[in-house]
Amino acid sequence: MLVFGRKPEGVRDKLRKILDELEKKDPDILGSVTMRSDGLILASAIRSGIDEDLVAAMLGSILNIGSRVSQELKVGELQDIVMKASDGVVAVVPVMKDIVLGAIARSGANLGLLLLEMKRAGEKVREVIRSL
Amino acid sequence: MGMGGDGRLRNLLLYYLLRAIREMGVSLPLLLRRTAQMASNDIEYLSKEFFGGNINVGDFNAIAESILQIMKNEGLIEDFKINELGTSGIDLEIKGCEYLNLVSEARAKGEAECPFCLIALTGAIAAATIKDSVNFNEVITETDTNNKICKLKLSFVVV
Repeated sequence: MLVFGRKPEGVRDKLRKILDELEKKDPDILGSVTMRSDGLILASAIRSGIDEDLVAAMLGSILNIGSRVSQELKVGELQDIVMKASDGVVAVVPVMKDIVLGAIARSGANLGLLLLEMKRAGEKVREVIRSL
Repeated sequence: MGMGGDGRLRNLLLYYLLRAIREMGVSLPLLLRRTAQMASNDIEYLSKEFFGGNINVGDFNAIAESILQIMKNEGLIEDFKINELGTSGIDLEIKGCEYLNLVSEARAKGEAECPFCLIALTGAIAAATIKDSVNFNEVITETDTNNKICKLKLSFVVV
């Protein structure tokens, strides 16, 4: 289980910067969050007015359930989950063991670009966490 | 109690419920964290209803101790002994947890420990209540069912 320790100065800022860069690279992205799979938010760029703890818990659930379905149906390791709704898209990508990246995008977003940029951002998140 | 005296049937049903949630893919740490967030959002109500409005919601140790005390008063645990208390962790012993036979049911089905620790939830509520300072990380439990004692180490993390 990832533990930041008592003085994680700068780590949250580094992760937040990665999320900000992600949104710049794909302007269809409206918000993003990186978190542990147990719902603990590491950094968030979710719009104000949204309960980010609840969003993190739900994204954690989506990832947990997706992993469980992949395992039960023996279709290999989960790579990503994309949920298309009438007014937007939600994508969740596992970054490393116990760490998740989630994003909310506009309806009609280019899904290939969205997932590509999320996976690139995920690599940067992984680097930050491994440097701890 | 009306359900087997020691609550075994109730706890067995709770065990099945938790196991079903877990088998469907929702991890119990995720469930615990969200439950703690919900309870902490209601901390003023809980304080008024159970502590006469006397919880200092800015003081982690006070919240944790107060919730343990009310659990004792409500008969959920017989007693508790705190060996270490602080925002980096809580090391404590619980005697006579009302849900102790959850451990027995879990062990009988090949699992290692209690599927959902009420005391860990207490710590998580305390942490969630003073959010931005500390977050619940994980709990390590060691249960002696013969002597009805749980030794718990809860760790917290600053993110």
